[in-house]
This record gives sequence, C-alpha cells and structure tokens, in this order.
Amino acid sequence: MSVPQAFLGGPGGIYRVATGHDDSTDRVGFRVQTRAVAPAGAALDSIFDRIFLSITSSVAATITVTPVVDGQDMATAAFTFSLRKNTASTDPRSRVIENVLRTARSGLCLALRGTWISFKIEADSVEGPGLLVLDRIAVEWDPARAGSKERP
Amino acid sequence: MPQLLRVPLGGGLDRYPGPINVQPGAMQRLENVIPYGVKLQLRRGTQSVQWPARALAHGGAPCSHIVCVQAVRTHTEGLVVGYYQTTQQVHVWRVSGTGEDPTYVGQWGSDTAWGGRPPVVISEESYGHAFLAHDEPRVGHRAPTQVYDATAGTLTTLTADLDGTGAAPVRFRGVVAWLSYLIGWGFGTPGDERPEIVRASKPGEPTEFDRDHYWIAGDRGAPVLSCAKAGGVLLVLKPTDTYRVTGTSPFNFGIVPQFAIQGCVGSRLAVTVDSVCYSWGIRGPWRTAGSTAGDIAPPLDLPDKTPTDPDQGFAFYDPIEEVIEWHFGRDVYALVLKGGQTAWSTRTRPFESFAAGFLYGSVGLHDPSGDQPTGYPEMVGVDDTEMTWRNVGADGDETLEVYLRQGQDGWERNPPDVDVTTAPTQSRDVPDIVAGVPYDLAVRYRRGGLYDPAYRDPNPDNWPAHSRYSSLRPITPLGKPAVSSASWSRVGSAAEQITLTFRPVADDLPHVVQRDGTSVGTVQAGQVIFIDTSPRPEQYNSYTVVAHTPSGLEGTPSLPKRVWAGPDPPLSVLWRRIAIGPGPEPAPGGVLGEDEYQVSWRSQVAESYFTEVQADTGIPHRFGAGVRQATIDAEGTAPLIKVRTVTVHFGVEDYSAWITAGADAT
Repeated sequence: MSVPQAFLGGPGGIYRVATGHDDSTDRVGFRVQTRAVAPAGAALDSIFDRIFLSITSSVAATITVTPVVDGQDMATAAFTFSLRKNTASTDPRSRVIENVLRTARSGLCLALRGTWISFKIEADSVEGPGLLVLDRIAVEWDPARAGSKERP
Repeated sequence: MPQLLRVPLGGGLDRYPGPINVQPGAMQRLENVIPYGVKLQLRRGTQSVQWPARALAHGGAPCSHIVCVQAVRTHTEGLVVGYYQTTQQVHVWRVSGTGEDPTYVGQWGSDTAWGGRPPVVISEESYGHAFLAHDEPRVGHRAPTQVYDATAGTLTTLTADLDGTGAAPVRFRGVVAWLSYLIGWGFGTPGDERPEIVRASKPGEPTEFDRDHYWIAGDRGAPVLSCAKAGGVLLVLKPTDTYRVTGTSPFNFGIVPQFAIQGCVGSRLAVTVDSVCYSWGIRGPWRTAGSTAGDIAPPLDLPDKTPTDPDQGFAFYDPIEEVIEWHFGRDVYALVLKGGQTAWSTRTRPFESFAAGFLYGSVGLHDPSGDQPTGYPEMVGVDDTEMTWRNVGADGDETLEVYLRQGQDGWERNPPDVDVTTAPTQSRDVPDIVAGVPYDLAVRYRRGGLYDPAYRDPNPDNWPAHSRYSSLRPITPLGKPAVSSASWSRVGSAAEQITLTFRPVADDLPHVVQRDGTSVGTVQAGQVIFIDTSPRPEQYNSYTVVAHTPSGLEGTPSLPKRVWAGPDPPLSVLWRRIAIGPGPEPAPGGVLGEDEYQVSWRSQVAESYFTEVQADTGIPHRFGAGVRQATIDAEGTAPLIKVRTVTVHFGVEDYSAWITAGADAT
C-alpha cells in the first residue's frame, strides 16, 4: 500500500490532484491580497515610499503588484515584473523585488499617502514545473505631517 | 527617517476580509496558494488521467460526468462511476491505483433511473466490497444501492428483508463503514419512506442487514444527510442538528442528540481527518472530535464566493498538501491543516468537479495482457453436487472462480476458489446446490486480478458456453437413489408381487419406480418401499428408482435391480460324474447306457417346495422338500444340468429361474 492519491471526478474523466504544475492543459494562476495595515495607526496618515517583495521561485511568471490605499487600487503605482526560469538549474532561487512608489510629475516627486495599505499580488499563469513562494512583503513608510501631502 | 513595516503573509482568510479583519495576519484574498507559516506557496496542478477509448461505453465517448471515485484497498484498485448526459446512463469501471487501466464493470440502474441529471453518489469500502449509494432525496427516484465484489469484479444490487416480506433492493442515500459495520441511512423499508432511519449491517457482514438493527435520528421525516466518524463515535448529521451513536454492538447501541445547531447542509460536505470531523453547517464550516463542536476559525464570509447548491457540493481531504477542499461547482474552499495550523484559502480550476476520492497503490492492477490467463476451463458435468471441469491450456498458477445461479436468483459467486493445476480435469464440491431447484454453473480462470478478455464481463451469461453448465441438461444434481432389496411373494391364487426397498435421494422428494424402463408407480416423499403387484411372472424384472421434483426435474436413476418373479432358486448347484457308461440301472428319468451324474444343491425355500433337475433338454426330475442331492443320467462329459425350485402356494406352482449346475471340482 502506498500513499493515497486524491482524484477529482470531472467532465470527461478523472483528475489527479496535487500533481504537476498545470490544471490539465491550463496553467495555474494566483491572486493574493494582504490584509490592510495602518503603519501610523488608524488615526494618522502615512507616506508610502517603496515596497520590497521577497520571492523564491524556479518557475516563469509575470507578476503584478498593486498597492491598495484606503480601499483604492493605486493603478499608477502598480508594477509588473517577470520571473524567468533558471535554465542552468531547477533549484529555486530567492530574490527581492524592490519598487519605488514615488512618481514624478511636473517637477514634483509624489508619493502615496493614506492610512491603510494592502497589496494585491497576481499572476494569470505560472509556467512550471517548479516552485513559487511569496516569502515576504514589506513597505517603507513615514508618518505624514499635518497638511503635508508629499515628501521631498 | 523612513521605517520598514513587514506586511504579514500566510495567515489565511478570515470571516470579514478587508479593513476589519478579525484575526491578526488574516489575508483579504488567497486564491490558488497554500498559506503556511508566514509564507504563501503556489498550489500544485491537477492532471487529467487519460483512459483509452476502448474501455469506455458508447463507442469510446468520454463520460460527461465522473460522479464517484472510490478506493478498493483490499485489491489495490478503485471504482469510478461515470454518467453520460446524452443517454442518461451510469456506468462503472475498475481502475488501478493510479486511476489508469480502466476495466469495464457494468451499468448501474436503468437509463431512466437518474431523473435526467448526474447522480450524487456516496460510496464506501468494507470487507472487500465497495458500496455505491445514490443520494437522491426522493426514494422513488433513488437507484438501488450497489455492491461491488472486488474479488469477483461484479456489481450487484444490495438486498435485504427489512419488512418481513422477503429480500428486496435496498436504497440507501449514503453509506459509511464504522467499526465492523456498514452504516446506511435514509431508507426505512420498501414501503415506508423513513429518511431519518440509519441502519447497521451485521458485524463483519456489510451485505447483511437485520431489519431490527436501526436508529431513529431525531424528528420523523427530517432527513439524515450524512454520517461521519469523529473521535471514535459515529455522528449522524442533519442540516441543523447532529446526533451521536452510542455503543459498539447491537446489544448496547443507542443514539443521543449531540449538537443542536451544528449539522451538515449537504450530504457530502462532511469529512473526517485524523478522528476530527469537518463539516459545513448552516453557519459555515465547523469541526468536532465527537464531544464538542467549534467553528473552524470564524466562518467564511467571502464577498464574491458564496456556497451554492450544497446538494452538489462535496468535501475531501488531500493528504499530500494536507488540505481539506469543499467544492461547490468551480469554487473551492481549502482549509490548510499544515503544521497544526488551520488557514483558509480558495481555489479555482478550469473545470467543474463532481466528486473526489482516494486511490491507493502506484502499482495498481498491473494489467499487462501477458499476465492474464490464456487457457480456459471447460465444464464436464456435475454428479450429485460434485462438479468437474477440464483444464484447457492452464499453466497451473490460475485460480478458478465458480458462479452459481439457482432458480430465479441471479448469479452469485460460489466460494471457495480453486487453485488450478495442470491436471487434465479437476473436481470440486458445490454443496450449495439445492436438490430439486434448477441451477446453472459457470467457471472462469483468474490470474492475480486479471481475466481473459472473453471472461471479463461480470455476467457469466456472456462467457463462452463451454465454461457454463445447466442442470436442465441430462446430467442432474438430484443424485442417485439405490435399491437396497427386492423380493417376490405370492399373495393369492392369482396375485403375486415384488416388494422393493430403496434409499431415497432426499426424504422430501417423491421417487418414480420403473420396471424395464417403464414407470410402474410413484413412491411419495418419506416412503421407501414400493410393491409391484403385476410383475411379469417367472421372468426377470429390472427395476430402477429415480427422484422427481415437484417442478418436474428428474434425477439420476438408480442402478437397475433384477428380480425374478418367482421363488428363490437353489444355491450351490454342482454336478459330479460318478460313473461312465451304463450303470446297474438307469437313474430316474435316465436312459440306460448314459453316464451317471450326481447333482447337489441347497434350497433357499423353507417349506412347500420341490426341486426340479433337468439334464440337457430332457424331462425335469422333481424331488421333494429336503432332498439336496440326486443322481441322474446324462450324456457326454459336460452335460447342461439345471436345477430350479418349485413352490406351491394357494394351489399354484411357481418356478424359480433355472440355475445351471457347475462342475464340482472336488
């Protein structure tokens, strides 16, 4: 007797669960949204400067990270990056993706400001085989001074 | 100076995702990832198992719905139940532990038994059998529960006498194995719909149900949806309440209310992992180890995923990822149990799933055609209850399976199996054959779990004819009676009779007596004596006795018994020549000049008899009672000397058969 294997009954046949990296012929995507945090407390705004996302992977994927401030998707601050397979080795590799949330407009440097912030991390498809682990996400912030909407 | 804030990952989902999440670290959305510790990992894939078209019904068309996957661990195989939407048929296959190598088992129910929609099937394995129950609330639309015999590879309907009127198909809504019992619920009797009834099989006999062994769970008419094990007890789950079965045997079984609010809103929404039952109730998922119930973290309240159609939903546990998945169509709620934590996430797949189950063993059926038997058994016949078959092309490592069908019953496996040898023929007793009931026998070879393609059909009627045998052919199962004694007597001046005593085949069967191939009378059941009042006088009468059944089936005749209709002949008849040539005077009836012979005999008759002696074709010489020796004249060195007995009763002379004298060697 060996380890039991779970199967799903679907249209047209059965499917072996937790096997491989695709759902039949479709690649698996994922969608994650962190909980909202208020770095300066629920009564104070913060200036969000940059984020750091640690990933360990051996797959190829295009991942989009979208900050959500006070419930609003910050599309202008969203960024996309690609993971590429390591052709030399199948071992997963860890890296830190850093992205600056400040944007420049009309000679001014603008940053995100708000009380609550969370992050959406998404990929429509991941090309395996391999591993993808979201290790850590962190945000660099400053408390906002009264009347201040930007940080030099 | 900017500060760095780490945003927690891996906390799972919570009841109120968003700004007011309840649990620290709870995520707002987790789709297709596994939360573990403080990290998230992409879940693994789901691979389609390819089946060859030759194994499928309907010309190789794939099923529209696979509605059941059930392991049969005792045989390292599994069962898969498929539904064809176009024809509304349900078919069953056995598969290997990898889900491959499908072998067709048979069709379940009729084309119209499913109400035009894919059935919800609840299955279980118990004592080498797999049970398939159709979870249909309306008993009138529910298909009979099926029993898959893994040894025989056959699918039969579960029957039981639950109302005292005889065995009838059982229609459970669901089944589960508990202790040494098979538990079935949702079926009272064929004529009384009792959805709150839960029945237990006889211990160790999952196909045998005593009509008095049942529990009533709560209000009458409120259906039991599921039964699940938890912490050593059996829970009986209804939508809004739960009951606990107490005791371990029919001597102390009982049932008590356990939880008033917690229950199960769908028949397949409860699953047991490590003695803990996880169920989806009206307030969402909860769990219990049998004594107390608790929410699994706070219940889910996801904004874009509301469980729909719980009747079609199902739960299962994936031991590899340590995840319990609740499926509602394409939406999946996943409870991760890794490392002792419980964390929720959701999953999506590109196809809708209808059922889930485990299969065990990577080697599975190992069905290369080279391992299947290449020979076949050929039925020779049956003598009484001993069947004989011829081994044609047997390698000597096959196993012979015997199937028996009696009267109006269906085919049933008749254990034990027989180890096939390389001997040309083999025999085996079939003690289950009932005298007087027509029957059929069928045999096939099995090697491992494999059969020759001609014998894979579970219905022996579809096997080659040379491997079947019918009692309606000349050789019959009734066996042979035996005539133990027969005697003649004169009972009047014009009346004589022969009395037969015989050993019957069975005390409850009548026997027909035949004389020289013609029936002369019937001996009723329980009688063992027959009197023939019109035997052919002074001739040998040959009697046989044969059993007859009320249905007209005739048994094997006894060996014939020859009886002379007359007195018993003399015994020890010998002659001895005592003089050559003419003696002093001719012997009585002799001719002067012939040789002289002395004849001796021993009479079997006590009184009123004579003995006649005849030499060649001469006139018989008659001697009175008590004479045992006489001298006669005869010609030649080997005369034909005959002796017979003559009795006189009621003024009538009766003659025994002539006994030819033999030469006295002394």
